[in-house]
Amino acid sequence: MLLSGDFRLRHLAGRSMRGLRRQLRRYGTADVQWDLRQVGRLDSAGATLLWQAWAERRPRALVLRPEQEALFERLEQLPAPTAPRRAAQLARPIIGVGERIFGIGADLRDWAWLVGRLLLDVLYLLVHPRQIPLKEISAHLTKVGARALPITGLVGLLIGVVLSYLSSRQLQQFGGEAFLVYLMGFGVTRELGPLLAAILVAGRSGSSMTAELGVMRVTEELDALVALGISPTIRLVLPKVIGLAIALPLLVVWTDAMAILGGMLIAKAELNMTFAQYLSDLPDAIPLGTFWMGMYKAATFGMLIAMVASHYGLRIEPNTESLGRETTNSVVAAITIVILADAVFAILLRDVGWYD
Amino acid sequence: MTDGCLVEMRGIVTRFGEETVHKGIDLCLQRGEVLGLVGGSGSGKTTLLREMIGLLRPTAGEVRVFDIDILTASMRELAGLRQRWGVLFQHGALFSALPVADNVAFPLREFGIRDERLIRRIVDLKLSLVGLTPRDGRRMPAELSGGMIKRVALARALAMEPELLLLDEPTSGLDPVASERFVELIDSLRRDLALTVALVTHDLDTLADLCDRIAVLAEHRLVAIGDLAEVRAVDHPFIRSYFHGTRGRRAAGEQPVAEHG
Ligand SMILES: Nc1ncnc2c1ncn2[C@@H]1O[C@H](COP(=O)(O)OP(=O)(O)O)[C@@H](O)[C@H]1O
Ligand SMILES: [Mg+2]
Repeated sequence: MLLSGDFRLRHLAGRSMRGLRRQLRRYGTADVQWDLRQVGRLDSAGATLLWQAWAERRPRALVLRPEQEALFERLEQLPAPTAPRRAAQLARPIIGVGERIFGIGADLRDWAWLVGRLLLDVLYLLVHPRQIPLKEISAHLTKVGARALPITGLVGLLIGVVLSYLSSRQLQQFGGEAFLVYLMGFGVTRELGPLLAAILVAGRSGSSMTAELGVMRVTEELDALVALGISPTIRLVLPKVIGLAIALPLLVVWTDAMAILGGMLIAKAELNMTFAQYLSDLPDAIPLGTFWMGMYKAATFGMLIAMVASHYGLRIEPNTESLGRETTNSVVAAITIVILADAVFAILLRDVGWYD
Repeated sequence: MTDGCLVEMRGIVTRFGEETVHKGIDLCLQRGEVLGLVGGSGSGKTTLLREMIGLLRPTAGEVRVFDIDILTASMRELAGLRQRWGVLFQHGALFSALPVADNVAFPLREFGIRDERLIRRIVDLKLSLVGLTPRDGRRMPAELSGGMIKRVALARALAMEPELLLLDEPTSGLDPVASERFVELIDSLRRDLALTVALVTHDLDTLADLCDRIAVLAEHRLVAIGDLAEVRAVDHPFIRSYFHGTRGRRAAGEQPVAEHG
């Protein structure tokens, strides 16, 4: 068999290779003499192609140029290719289920570790109040609170407008226009405001908190902190939890206010209710108990979001794919947990904060 | 091609905001040579390499690679060029989400090779070339030591059978034995594969053993270029302190001199 021309990687991708490969497969293991002296350029990819055609063995009769010799010597020294494990392939789905289940277990363990760690940190800080990370907490207040004002305000206002518009149309049908204030004031402060703000913050700050911790893992900054004797939970996680526990209630007040403002605009436009009328009814529409309930809920949501975000952030493995995956998981989990917690609140506090 | 320059840089000026890194650099990388680029930290060696492959546009000047002006080259020309050079980045720049074998296979798959059996074997071959085993191919980049990262990065740089190899501090962070093996490896590669190599290094032994010519970057310019003896003869403060310290003399094969004689 006399080969000529270039056997180079450059040419291996093209369609023209097909014919050659078919021929090689046909004659590869046949008992013929191979002569490569006419081959123009042979690189290691081309040599590998031939080598595989020869079933990874040197043909009994092979004539080479001296510089080609080195390539094939190297190929000869390669350990035999390992066949992909068949059994593992078949067992994949079962292994997958098992991994999933153990994954949940590990998840719960990590979660318990984080909660326990934070409790210990709080106790530690009560004894050593000098080490309370005030600067970090204040930075987080700006990041998750102040910078979120525009988006929460806008969304609050729009939802307020939509909700009050729909309600006013319904109320008009049986002459209940005067109750719009009650509907808006009560519904927004008790349910809508806290939930809305929490979901927005979970998407906005939860993801960035997770990514921040994740990148610190990738760049070994977490290890550097530990090596410096600084607890990552005190310095990184606790400020997030405290920051959101303070910032979210404040954001909720703001979102509530914007939603109620939206209701006021619609009341004027649709129901010809004056601003003064709307505002004078407002204090009666919001029982204090309901307002405080909204605040407690918001603080709880804030802590949950920060803890979920940190939990996923600390789980990130040092690679980019894990970073993306856990960030998504973090947002999904945070929103789900906020809604679950809201349901729990609704049941536990079902007798709190109604009109006398 | 002017006098066989594989890479030709003319009048390169680079500025980052206020900071000037290069003030007019002319450099010709000849076909088949190994050029060592030395200079203090922050003297702009990495920046110069990045400009050679079009990752960074110089503020002024001209860069020609394989006789193509890469500042004005079309997408097609650039795509063609990118298959002809291999780059080893200073920190490896492995894809952290892919196992080692897939990192090396990445350029091959991108190039359009579909035969997975062939790819796997080429990967094994490249890994063995840099002293790794096929088993190492299954590990993730985060599990590798610094030296292994460099080797995998070199294997990836070699995957496309490049004609031009750019190495940014290939031996920094390696132990002396590993670093010597790395130098031998590159030396044998350049003989077997007829490579042209530009490499940044701080290691005097690497310069002495591997490089045909040395270019010295200092004060924003190339203050010297030539073989080791020529460069050492240049009278410049940086060269004096760099090549004429004890280590520099040892690398140049001189007898150690009594320091306090
Ligand atoms: N993207 C960038 N933006 C701003 N400054 C840069 C950038 N890249 C490099 N520099 C500056 O250019 C100088 C040279 O950097 P570099 O080429 O990395 O040096 P080295 O010779 O150590 O490889 C340094 O002072 C660095 O601060
Ligand atoms: Mg550098």
